[in-house]
Amino acid sequence: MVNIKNLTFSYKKNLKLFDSLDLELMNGSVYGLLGKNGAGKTTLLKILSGLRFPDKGTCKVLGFETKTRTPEFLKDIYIISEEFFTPSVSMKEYVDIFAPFYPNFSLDQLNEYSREFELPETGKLSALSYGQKKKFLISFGLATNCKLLILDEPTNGLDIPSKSKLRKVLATAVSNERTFIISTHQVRDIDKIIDPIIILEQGKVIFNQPIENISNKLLLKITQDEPGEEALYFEKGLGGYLSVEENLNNEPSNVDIELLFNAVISNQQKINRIFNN
Amino acid sequence: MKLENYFNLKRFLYLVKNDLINNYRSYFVGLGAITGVIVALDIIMGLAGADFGIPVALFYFTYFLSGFIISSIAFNDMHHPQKGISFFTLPCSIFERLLSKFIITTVIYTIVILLYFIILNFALGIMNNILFSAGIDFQSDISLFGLFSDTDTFIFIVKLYFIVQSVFLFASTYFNKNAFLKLIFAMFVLQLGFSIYTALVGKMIFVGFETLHFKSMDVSFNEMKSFLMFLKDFGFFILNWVIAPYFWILTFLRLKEKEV
Amino acid sequence: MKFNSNLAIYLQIAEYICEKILTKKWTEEDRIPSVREMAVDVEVNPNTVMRTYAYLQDKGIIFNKRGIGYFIDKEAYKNTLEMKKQEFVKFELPQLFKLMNLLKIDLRELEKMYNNFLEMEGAL
Repeated sequence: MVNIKNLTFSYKKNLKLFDSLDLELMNGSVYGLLGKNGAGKTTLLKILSGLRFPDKGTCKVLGFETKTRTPEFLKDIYIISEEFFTPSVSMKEYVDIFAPFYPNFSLDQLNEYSREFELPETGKLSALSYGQKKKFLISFGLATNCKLLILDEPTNGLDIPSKSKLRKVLATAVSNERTFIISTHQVRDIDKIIDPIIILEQGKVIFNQPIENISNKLLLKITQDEPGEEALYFEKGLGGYLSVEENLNNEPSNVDIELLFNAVISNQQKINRIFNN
Repeated sequence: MKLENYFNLKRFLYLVKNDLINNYRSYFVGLGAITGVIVALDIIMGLAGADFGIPVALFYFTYFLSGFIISSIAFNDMHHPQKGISFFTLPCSIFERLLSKFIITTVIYTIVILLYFIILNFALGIMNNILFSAGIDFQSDISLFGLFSDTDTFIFIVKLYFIVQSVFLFASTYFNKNAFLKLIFAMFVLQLGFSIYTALVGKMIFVGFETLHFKSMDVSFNEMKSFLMFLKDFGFFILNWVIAPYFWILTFLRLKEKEV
Repeated sequence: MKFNSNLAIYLQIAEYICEKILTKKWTEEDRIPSVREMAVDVEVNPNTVMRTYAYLQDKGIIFNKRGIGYFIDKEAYKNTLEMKKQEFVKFELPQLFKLMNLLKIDLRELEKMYNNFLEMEGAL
């Protein structure tokens, strides 16, 4: 589905954002793309949608090299960036002038998602609030039935009920033929939806694992006493220590993604060794 | 390589529609501004006791000026960080993106502005009748309708528009903001440079003429003349057939290479 | 649905279903929500629900009719009870004993409290 090989990219000379980055994504998952500020999440999403070109290496989506921006490829992707622009047309007009470019677009689906998000049925797009515009674009993007939907910080600017609606809408829309990539810092908003987890750090993908693997290989738990040698990572939390250790007794634990993220960032090598065993 | 990836008529027509609906506001604002200026001119002329209407020269002037302005903002979206995303991820080819903007700023623009001026001219005629009991002299060559009696000039002007417009279209992909002013400035600088250059070369040759003996140059005046004629033809050939395609290709490449 | 314990999400969903069975809200041969319906309902990735259903199928609590959906097994109540009992003995009971020991609660005291509880439940 997505195949990135040996990708090098820099905005400034001598300052590589990505250095021989490899990434392979499969069909039918909701990938969560995590990384610290400036790790290059947004840039990676831009390269995936053909907006930025690799300096070296290749980025292929559905077999198309993304930088060629051919319509055949573009009709199967949709990107909703964190900051977006909506033309000053009505919602109906928007559908009229954009939907024909997507052969698998479904008006029924758009209406269903819009209803779920409680969007007004008519009216100017520009009259909507930021959060409502975003919900409209998410509904539209899902209704294009594109193979790859890219969401950059989708929960940003959504109110509390909308975040829950977003989770419901995403759960409805997941299918074996589609892949979602969601980049986010507000991981708690969608931590039960994203699976697998990708972590971007220092120009590379340092972690890319499905939740099932994570809960099989790692044990994330709360302990009263300060964890010892066996802990790969721990932090002080309310009511004890949150710790990550190797899952030796096959105990399935809840994967707290923030804790996982911190653990992977601080103890990359050991964690990768556990997954490669 | 499939043709579908470069051109598909249905998709292309949807793109033109998309472009037009997305930008119709600015087009209306432009037409409004043109109308305002022309009506004001007409009233001033009417008060001064002259039959006015729209002189054909004013039409040509407006045709060029407003055409170059809309051409120089045609690709504004691609420089905008957010609009650029939607511009480049809309499923159509680079060629279609270029062709759509080209058709809108040339063919569609020419037809619309011509029709608009004809209608405006009639409206002004009626208005002048009411305000000043004076009409428009439809027979006069300098009136807007002069362009129907002198179609050669009209065709020449349209051709010239297409050629010069290609430079403005390119400028809108090249310059981030204020492409129109930047291009005018760049043209001015180029023109200045060219003038200085020709002046210097001319002076050198002229100085040479005074000191050199013609016979020793072994160039007959006729040969010189035919060479100059060739230069002239060559110049016209370039103007007619090379400039516009050259800038269209540059525009295409710019669209292809631009990253957001 | 609120997820709170440190238990894996797929097991928390399984518990939710087991509770429905133990409280007889869902009985044998009942059709349960499809993977997608359940995923939307509890706002999780459908993969997670798939895992829950596979797990419950394995325990003989639900079964899959090809192309129709998932249903509560004939033996579901018995199997759930058995499974939950084992879990209780394995995980919760030691915790309880630990606390009883800590708080110096003896079995007799506990029995009294337990009887009180049953009376209250019966009165309701």
